Amino acid sequence: MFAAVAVALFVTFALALIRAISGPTVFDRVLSLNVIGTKTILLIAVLGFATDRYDFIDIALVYAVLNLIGTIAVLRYLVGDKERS
Amino acid sequence: MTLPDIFDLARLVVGDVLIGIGGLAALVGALGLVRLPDFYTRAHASGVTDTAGAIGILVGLAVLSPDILTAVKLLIVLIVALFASPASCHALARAAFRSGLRPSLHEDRPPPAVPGE
Amino acid sequence: MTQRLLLGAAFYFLWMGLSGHFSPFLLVTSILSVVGVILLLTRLGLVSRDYQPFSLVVALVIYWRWLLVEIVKANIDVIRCVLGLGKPPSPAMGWVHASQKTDLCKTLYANSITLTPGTITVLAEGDQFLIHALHREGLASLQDGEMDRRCTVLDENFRGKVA
Repeated sequence: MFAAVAVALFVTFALALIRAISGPTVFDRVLSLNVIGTKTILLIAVLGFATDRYDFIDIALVYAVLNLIGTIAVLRYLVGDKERS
Repeated sequence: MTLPDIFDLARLVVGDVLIGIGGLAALVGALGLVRLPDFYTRAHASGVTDTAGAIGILVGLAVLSPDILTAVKLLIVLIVALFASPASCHALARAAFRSGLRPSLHEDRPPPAVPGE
Repeated sequence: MTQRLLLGAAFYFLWMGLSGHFSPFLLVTSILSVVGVILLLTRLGLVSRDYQPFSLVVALVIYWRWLLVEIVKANIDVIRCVLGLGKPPSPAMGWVHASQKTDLCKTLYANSITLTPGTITVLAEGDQFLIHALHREGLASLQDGEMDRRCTVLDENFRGKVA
């Protein structure tokens, strides 16, 4: 089951990459990267279970936090919150 | 078959079904990311992978995990993911709307510009 | 002070959950690190019930259970739409009134809308949210106000405990 879910997640990556490459707007690309980021967390957790290395969960937790900060940073760069700064 | 055996079997079945559902939901969400027509509708598809995919897989793994500590960690990951995903989704949609990207709406209606329309 | 003690206890349990080591040395040093973090947060002015609403925890868990059911229902809708089984998408956009008074509960409401697949909060201006929905029905059910009502109950709960 772990292997099947891991394969499903890899197909998910491929589909999201298609969207990230074809665009058309920069927001579509950021959206795809965001999806890939979330799926990376899930993939790390699943692979940790598949290989009986449960300390992978800690890495998944760090990814979850970095993912949020990464997206916000990209969007700040793109638009710039004028009324906040 | 003793009671703990039955409990373990039930745990295995429930956990496998949950991560199966999560994997399928992630797949469908990514399919929507490719198939749906414009940016805002694609954001809904990403919402499916962020909620159903994450809840299914992480709760399923928590059910399957060998000790309580791993399950607690997985639930912490889930809570962080569920707080982060709407924040980044809203930030993305707002950035797109502010930069002038307009959705194509049903019956070609223009989006209302001011509250109350 | 109660706020700091509760926050410290929460941090301590988080630390124990993440580390998984229970030797006396680590349990004592973790107290030191929790105290350090609380001091830093106090200096930054981030210790307040607006940031750590402990009084809402029970009500929030009940609300999350309701939200989980809504998320599952909305997911089935969007999945059918993506697979071409259900109704074709009929994207709609409109303003929704948020009747919460505090920023905390407004954020809770806006995040709940975005977290439910099929509806996204695009803009939040004062007490009006601009919503994009995959189906017209999704927007209509938000304007119906079931979710708004539940968040407002939490909001009144939260404000009632100030006095």
